[in-house]
Amino acid sequence: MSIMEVRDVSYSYDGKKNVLNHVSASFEEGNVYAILGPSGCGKTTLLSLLGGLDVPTGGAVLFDGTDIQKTGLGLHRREHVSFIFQNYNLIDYMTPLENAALSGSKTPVMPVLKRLGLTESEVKRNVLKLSGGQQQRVAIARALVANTRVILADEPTGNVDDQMSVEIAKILKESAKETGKCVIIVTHSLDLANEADTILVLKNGVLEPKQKTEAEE
Amino acid sequence: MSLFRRAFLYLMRKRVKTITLFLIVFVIATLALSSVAFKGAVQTAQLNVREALGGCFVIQPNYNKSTSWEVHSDENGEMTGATFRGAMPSEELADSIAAQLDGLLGFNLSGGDAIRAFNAPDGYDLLHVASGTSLMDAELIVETIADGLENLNDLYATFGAHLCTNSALDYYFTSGEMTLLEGRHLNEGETGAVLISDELAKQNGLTVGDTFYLRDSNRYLISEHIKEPVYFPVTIVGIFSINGTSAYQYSYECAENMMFMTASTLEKFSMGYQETDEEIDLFHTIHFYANDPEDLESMVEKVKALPSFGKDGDFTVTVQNEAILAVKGPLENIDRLVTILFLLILGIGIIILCLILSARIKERIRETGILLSVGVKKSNILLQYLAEITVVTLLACTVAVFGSMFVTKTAGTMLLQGTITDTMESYTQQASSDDYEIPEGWTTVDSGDSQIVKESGTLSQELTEITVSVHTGEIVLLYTAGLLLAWGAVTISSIPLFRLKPREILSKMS
Ligand SMILES: Nc1ncnc2c1ncn2[C@@H]1O[C@H](COP(=O)(O)OP(=O)(O)OP(=O)(O)O)[C@@H](O)[C@H]1O
Ligand SMILES: [Mg+2]
Repeated sequence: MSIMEVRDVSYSYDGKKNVLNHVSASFEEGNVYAILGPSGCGKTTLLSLLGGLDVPTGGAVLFDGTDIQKTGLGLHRREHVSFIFQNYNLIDYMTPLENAALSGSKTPVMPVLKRLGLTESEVKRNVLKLSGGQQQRVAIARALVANTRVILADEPTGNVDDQMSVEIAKILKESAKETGKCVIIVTHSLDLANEADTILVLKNGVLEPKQKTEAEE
Repeated sequence: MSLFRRAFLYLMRKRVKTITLFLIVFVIATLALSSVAFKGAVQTAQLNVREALGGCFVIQPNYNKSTSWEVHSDENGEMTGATFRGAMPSEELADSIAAQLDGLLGFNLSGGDAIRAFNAPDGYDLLHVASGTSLMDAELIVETIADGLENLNDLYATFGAHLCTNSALDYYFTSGEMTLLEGRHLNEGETGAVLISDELAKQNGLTVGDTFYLRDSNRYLISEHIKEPVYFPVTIVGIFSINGTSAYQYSYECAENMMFMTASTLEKFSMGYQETDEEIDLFHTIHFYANDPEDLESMVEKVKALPSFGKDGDFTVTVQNEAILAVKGPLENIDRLVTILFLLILGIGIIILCLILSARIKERIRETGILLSVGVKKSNILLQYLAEITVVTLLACTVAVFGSMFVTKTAGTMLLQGTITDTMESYTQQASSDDYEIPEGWTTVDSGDSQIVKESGTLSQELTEITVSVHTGEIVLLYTAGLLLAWGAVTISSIPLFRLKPREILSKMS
């Protein structure tokens, strides 16, 4: 059974033009999804609807079969999903360790950070003194340790080189398999998309699955 | 992570931001608290001035009424002098006026006479006049010589009897020209008790409880009427000091030789009083004191309209509150200045604080978005920001309490004391140069009172003993107002941020 589902979701910023036009899709646990699409097509918009950061103008977003508006958006964000953003992921007055533990989960943070390649001294540093890739890995660690079943990532590798990008994709995929989480990644990177189990393309307000090899920029 | 931990981390790790905010709140709080304390002190000063200067109104005979004067002329019809025969203030008049006035503190009738004082009732063992006051009364010498030189000793020392009905309310004391050093004031109608000056006491080795004898000074009168003089024993009940030096020449005119007594004491030995059955006018002035000097003007209006007072324009009534008015103006100016300053500080302070706080909150949009995305509630985030400002405000206010104590102890107290001292100095100088107004063509009227030229600054001394201090109530007010202000500023600054949807916050992040 799918853990998350968008059912006939439409969204408009101005009440006239629909950014999302009757979009439907479902997402399974233990799977990694990549959402591709041209800039401005509404990928971030879709992700915020999935994450309960906003409500659709039409249709519904379901978690475990229940409309998240019924469960409450705050509770949905707190307990069902974790976010990874392109940048500005971390709170600057907290150490990487504190940032990774922000969700309040009891899962130990240090082993996860270590596995993501951060050293003891790096995790106690000022977060602004980490490289872009290191900062992103801290954000990923935060999403991984959180007791949520869905991870929503918006261009998580936008700020890192291709090698790191693939590395991050692998980590996300591994943890999806290990922990049975559902990972949904919005990206422009084909390399990253190819690591995903399923690739979806958003175009003209409609979401369509694509074969991996057919995936295009 | 709890909101308190987040607040703690923010304050500790964003040290520069915390310290700047702390300093701003500290400066505003210090200035606000100092000006509130200062305002309180100015009000205390105003009250002190009112109480110390004891505003009063004065009823005196109308010396300007020409029909009240009896003119003396020589054989050629040349005017040689004049005697005032007009109505004099009496206890009946004072009582009738007092009965009509509300808010009266009390009144005192005063008058004076020249007297003699002896260690023994023998007419020889005279008390010494206070050192520095003139011994001889030339006029009296001439009269006594003409009278037959009966007893030269009598020429040497004359003293002043200052009659009063309520010595505590006597203008010498209420104006601060004299201060009771030892003993007590005279009781109403007390017979046989006197107050003397410390100088006179020193000169004669007298102290409270000692007894000496008083006699009428008019030696010539005694011989004329061939009557034995009365030596009346009096006891010293109080000793006063004089804040200044006498402006007069003759011993009986000098404040140092003045003896305060009730009319009933004088009546025991005054020959003039004993010689006649007629009512003798003992008093020349009544001072009425109001509980609140602000009421004086309206009281005077009421008195002028009284039938017992108004007939024939025999009396004048004047408000004596120049001292209060002299200090009132500058104090009111300070008061107004401090109020304006306070409002400015508060206004500018609040604006600066709100601008800074709202700028800071806007800066924290990213943090707010991250916290929202991990499921922290808006209210929880707002509480974190409130907790931070609360800690800073409490610390800054606490330090500001000490800061303002320092400010008020130095600058404030100096400024306030300076103002009162300056004003009082210029007032006393002006007052001592104000001479009694005499109708043209008449000879000098001796009111029987001594005049004292005050040493500048002596009166203001007791008034300037005002310290500007910070009170508990003001401190509590500071904390309350400071916290409410800070909370208000943070909450208001947060409204635009928290009205955004989480997604909007996040889209503003990048
Ligand atoms: N707050 C907003 N108000 C109005 N229009 C918006 C707002 N945010 C986004 N849009 C518009 O909605 C459309 C979808 O935006 P969205 O950010 O979802 O695109 P995207 O696919 O994430 O693009 P990108 O790949 O560049 O990140 C765009 O045309 C954008 O201009
Ligand atoms: Mg986007």
